[in-house]
Amino acid sequence: MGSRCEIRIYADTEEVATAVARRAVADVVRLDAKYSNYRDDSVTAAINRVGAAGGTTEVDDETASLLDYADTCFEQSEGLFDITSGALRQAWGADCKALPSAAVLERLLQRVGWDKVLWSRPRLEFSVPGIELDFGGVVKEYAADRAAAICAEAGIGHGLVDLGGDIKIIGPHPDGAPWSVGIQHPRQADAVMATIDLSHGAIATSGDYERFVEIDGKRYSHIVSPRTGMPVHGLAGVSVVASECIVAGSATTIAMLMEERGPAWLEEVGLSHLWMDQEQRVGGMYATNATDSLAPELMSSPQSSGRSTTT
Amino acid sequence: MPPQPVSVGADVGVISVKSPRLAALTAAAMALPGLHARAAEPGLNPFTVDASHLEYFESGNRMRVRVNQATAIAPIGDSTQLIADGLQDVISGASPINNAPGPGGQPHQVLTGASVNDRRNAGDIGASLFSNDNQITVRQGWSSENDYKSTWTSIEGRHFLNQKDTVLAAGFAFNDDGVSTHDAPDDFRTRIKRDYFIGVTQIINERSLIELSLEYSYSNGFLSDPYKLVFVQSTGLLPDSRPSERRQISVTGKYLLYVPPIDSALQVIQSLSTDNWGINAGALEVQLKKELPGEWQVNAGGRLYSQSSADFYQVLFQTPPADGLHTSDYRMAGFGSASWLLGVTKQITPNFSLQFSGERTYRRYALRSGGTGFDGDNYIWSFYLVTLQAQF
Amino acid sequence: MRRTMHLARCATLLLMAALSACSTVPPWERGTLAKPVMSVDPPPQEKQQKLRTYGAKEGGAAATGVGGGGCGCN
Repeated sequence: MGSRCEIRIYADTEEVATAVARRAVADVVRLDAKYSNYRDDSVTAAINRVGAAGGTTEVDDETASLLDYADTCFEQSEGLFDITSGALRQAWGADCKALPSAAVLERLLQRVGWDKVLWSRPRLEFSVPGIELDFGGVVKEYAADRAAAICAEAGIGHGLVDLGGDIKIIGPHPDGAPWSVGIQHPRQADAVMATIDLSHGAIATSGDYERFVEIDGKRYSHIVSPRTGMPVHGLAGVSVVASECIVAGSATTIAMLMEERGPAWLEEVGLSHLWMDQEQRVGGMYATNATDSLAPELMSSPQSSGRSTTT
Repeated sequence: MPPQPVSVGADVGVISVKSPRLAALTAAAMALPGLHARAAEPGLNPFTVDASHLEYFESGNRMRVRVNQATAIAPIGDSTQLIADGLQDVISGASPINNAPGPGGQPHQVLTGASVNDRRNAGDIGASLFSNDNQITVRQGWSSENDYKSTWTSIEGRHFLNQKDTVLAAGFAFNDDGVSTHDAPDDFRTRIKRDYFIGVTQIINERSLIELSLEYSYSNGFLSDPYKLVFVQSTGLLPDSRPSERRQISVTGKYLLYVPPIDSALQVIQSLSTDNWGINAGALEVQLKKELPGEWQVNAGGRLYSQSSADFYQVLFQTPPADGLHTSDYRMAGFGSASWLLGVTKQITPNFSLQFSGERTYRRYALRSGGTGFDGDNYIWSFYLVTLQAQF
Repeated sequence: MRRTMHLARCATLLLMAALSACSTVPPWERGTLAKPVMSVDPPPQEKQQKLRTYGAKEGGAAATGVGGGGCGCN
């Protein structure tokens, strides 16, 4: 998946823990391969071969559910979360040396748009040739949820799955203590912006500091808007807590895509979240209950403009 | 827009959602496959091999049975599963032949000498096909022993609804048997049986489910027991003689409830049956099943059974009945039984589990629901079963 | 036969009552249903042996028509 992945579980014996972890990891590897943008034998590649010609194809159950999910994200993000933005990777790949011209972006944007795809489960019809699907925005978080479910099904009650910062909790420590998750400070490499204690659920983080290209000394985030073709420039970092990692992950991605409207959108969604903008102002919203809490750092920070809601 | 209150539940569970955006995202996320620990969903099993040994015995020098059985289930591809099963059982010991009047007018049972020693071999193979919402299974089986041969075929279909919360099932089985005796082992008299069943399993809520099924069976042919006799006061011993047709209908309900304060599952099974031989029966079984740390599972419970006697059953006959139907078989009498059951399972490694289960049943004339019988038929039967299961 | 009709009618009523009382359990609440103790049937071999024994020792219908042929146990 291109980032560090870790599964931490408590089990009665090491053999059990190893066996279960192995099964969970196997599924992560399976999903990584199945939706890889770089493999010829992945489902993504097969779909995109059909898309290149502007044809129609049918997808399997899992892919269909992911497309349904992506469709929902598209609607809830006013069209900013768009899995047909695969073609834009050509302009903003890691080896990108110069800013792509407006003409290049214009041409690529014609091959981008979920509204150019007719999705009627299980049929996927491309009305325009050259569209490329990119599942990168959902697969990693989905894999975290699935890995945790596999562990839970195997009887594991305590642990977590951490796929490059997208975390799904299987259960708190055996003594009931929550997991303490540190959120990377977007501008200070060795600092923590906040510590979040979670006993259940999931947390995902997105930021412009994770993956980027540097052109002429300026940083361009890896999150590209399907409207303008340009990388987003809004929040520096955002973390969202949700019951499912896939929901948390897409919420962070959409918040980043919304740029300066991100915080308002997050409040509308109503999930506990934390953000930092380009001026290093911090804000967010949290709900408190017996097991989940955002740390007091949020309240004590002088730049904090956070609101709180208690239930 | 002012922030709206949201409560994120402590469980991966109850989320009270006030935001429509969150509701939409959550609903779509929930539809993703394999996102949550699933209920034992119907579908392909991993490759599984079961081997078991059973010891069955009855009180008072009566029969004893030993069974060794092995079953293998192999998934083939994404939607097929093959099953193969083989067993051998050995019966020894005495069994009742007839009743006879005793001194003082009290009837008693007459048993064979403890010389019966029969070996039975049986096997079956089958295949299941799975699709998204359906499952169909066909099986073909054989059983063979010195004085009894049987072949059977069955087909069963299942249809899943409501995201697998509801399962509709229906099935049909056809049995073709030949019955002979030790004295004339090749002289087979035949009978057939047709079984029909329909059932529904419904998940009620996150802790309970119910299963209801209806079954009808029709048997035709030689339905008497060639080893049994009846004592007729006026003429002496006559062979067991039952109608050549039998129609049975039964209804079964199973209810399973998880009880959090004791971290156990309560299971109740109730069944009622009736037939055209006059035997009306009912059974009630209650079990408590609990998981213990270290991958142990224990279950314990009891069962009560009661039946009325067949219309053509008598302990002893005065004169031969006009319709030529007569039996004194202790299984056709009015009686009931009380049993206790116990089971222990241990997951030894992630691939192997060992299971022990035992049942002891007290058959008593006093517990009958109607008809006639006598205490001389009372006995105790028990079995102990050890099963080793390997899954890959 | 009257007794048969009565049983069949009971079964149908119970069936309808059960089906109408339920709504789908959302996937995130199915953890309890996934527990091994929450399966109504014992493992197949045990179920087979139990049913065969009841069928051989009792006069009532041994539920589940799936063959097994049955031994000629006396």
